[in-house]
Amino acid sequence: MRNAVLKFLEIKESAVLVVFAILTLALASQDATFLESSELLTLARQYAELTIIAVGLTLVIATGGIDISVGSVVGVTSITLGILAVEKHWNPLIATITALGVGGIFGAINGYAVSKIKIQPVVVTLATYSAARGLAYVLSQGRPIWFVEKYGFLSNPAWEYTIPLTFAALSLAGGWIILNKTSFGRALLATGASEKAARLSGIAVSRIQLAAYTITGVLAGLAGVMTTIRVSTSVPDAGMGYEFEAITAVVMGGTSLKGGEASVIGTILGVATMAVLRRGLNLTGATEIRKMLFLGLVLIVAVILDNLRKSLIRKLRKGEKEI
Amino acid sequence: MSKRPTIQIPKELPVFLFLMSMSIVLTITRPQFLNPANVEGMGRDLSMVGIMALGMTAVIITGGIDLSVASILALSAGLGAEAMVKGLSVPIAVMITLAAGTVCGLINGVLVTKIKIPPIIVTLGTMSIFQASALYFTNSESLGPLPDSLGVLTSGTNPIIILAIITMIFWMMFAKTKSGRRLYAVGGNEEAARLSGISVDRVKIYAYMLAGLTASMGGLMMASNTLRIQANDAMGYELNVIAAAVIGGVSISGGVGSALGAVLGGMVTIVLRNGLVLLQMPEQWTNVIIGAAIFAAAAFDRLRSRREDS
Repeated sequence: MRNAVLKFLEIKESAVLVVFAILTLALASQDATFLESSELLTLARQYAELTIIAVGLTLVIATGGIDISVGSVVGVTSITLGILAVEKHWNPLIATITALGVGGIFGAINGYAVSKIKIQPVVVTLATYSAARGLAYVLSQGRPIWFVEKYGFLSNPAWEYTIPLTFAALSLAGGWIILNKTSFGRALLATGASEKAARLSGIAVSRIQLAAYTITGVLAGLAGVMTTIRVSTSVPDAGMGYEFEAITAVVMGGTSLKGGEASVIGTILGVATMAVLRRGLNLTGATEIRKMLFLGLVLIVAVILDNLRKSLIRKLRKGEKEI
Repeated sequence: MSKRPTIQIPKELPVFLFLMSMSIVLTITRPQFLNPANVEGMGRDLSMVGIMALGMTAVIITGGIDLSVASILALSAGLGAEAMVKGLSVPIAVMITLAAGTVCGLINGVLVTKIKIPPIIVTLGTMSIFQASALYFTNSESLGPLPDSLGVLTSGTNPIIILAIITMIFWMMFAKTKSGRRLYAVGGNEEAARLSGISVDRVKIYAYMLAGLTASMGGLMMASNTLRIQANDAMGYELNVIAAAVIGGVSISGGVGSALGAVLGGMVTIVLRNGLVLLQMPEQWTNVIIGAAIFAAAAFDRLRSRREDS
């Protein structure tokens, strides 16, 4: 019996799995329509952008860093796309790639500052959080840009569900493969566990960090493009608050902020938990106040549960030794 | 073997020089910078960010961070305003505000130390919870007009005097008292501090309580300025406070920081903002410039540490 429990607890994602299961059951019991495929599809679509950003953040947090600028990068890439595709009539594909490039540049700035100048990640990304958002406002002069015509492939109806969900699925798969099956992923985790040890064992820590932050920047850019197309508008405010939600999802999923321990499966479970929570709160007609309250509480509860999981493992293991 | 004399450059010198050069450039290009009205306006804004940066510095010195200060401001000032609007005297309402802020800080401290959650996560969570509470207790309404006597906090040169007094208190605490030394000890090397008998938990809780207290003070300054307050007024303000602290030289890894630095950092952000207004640049440039300032301050600090290491 104890072995089964221990096996379950040792799954990194067990804490979030429990929370997710409880919330889903609660929601399903109150609203049976929730489990219909069309409902689930809509919900999944709503969280595609967050999923993509959360995957990037998982990689960054795995190295022991953090990136609070992702929301602002979503905003500035949204505006970039709007200005290039709509106002300057650029080829939509080139405009999109440029927008992704802008995301990558901000990511690279973060990565360079962390790896070469060795500034603390939270400070660097605080600076880019501020600067990127400011740039979004400056470039757009505070005004939204409406996508009034058809803009090539950007107006393809596949953008409603197929493309975003595909991107979300691809990022999840890609993130999982990177973390679990590649030497790059192992290097990420090693860097997070101990930068010094990683360096001594020959890992190019700087390059790893640069890569992690740049990837996250590009993913944030992708989320920016997706958000823009979803509402057919570029807004400088796009992505505001995404960093909070993304970090919440990642940490809920069992990825450790200290680095060295990460789970993409945990991250998607974290995103799913938040989706279900919000859906449930909307259903009960909760006020913005209550939603805010619950989001904060669920984050703290999830982390407490994970701590509990770890201490339970220790206690059960100690019992084993005594036998 | 000859020893190279080591010159101790005060940590705050670069910030101070930057501040001075900015101010001189501004005075030359826009003389209105030194207008009494402009200076008083900057003084009011400075008192708010400066006081809060002092508390934030205490937390960051211990190796933590507090993202919830803006929400603590909203909750504590909101409760105080409710009290005033319901007829309680201003002094009592002020007490309520300060107490509420300190209690919020206590909650943060307990969560960080006893339940062992990383500070960034705790305060991310409490940021939401405190903000939600602020909206709840004030019914999401704009409260006011608040009693005129509250305005005394931000009239004339009072805000600067208040800031100066609180800065001196923090300076003495950081530099001359046991509690202050313990903040640096815990931030510098937590294990060593613990082994030398310091109650690390208590020190951290103390730091978060200071952050909460100064956040409530910031709320009082804000409420006093316009004699009106609404729960969402200070949203996002935590970044101004953290920016001020970082520009002022506090190190996120802990163990380094000063009261003077915190206030100088605050001054830099205020002068930058004011400068942009005087130069008639669109307000949105503020965030870009502040971001660049944070970056520059942090990079400069790293450069200096590296030189000292060699």
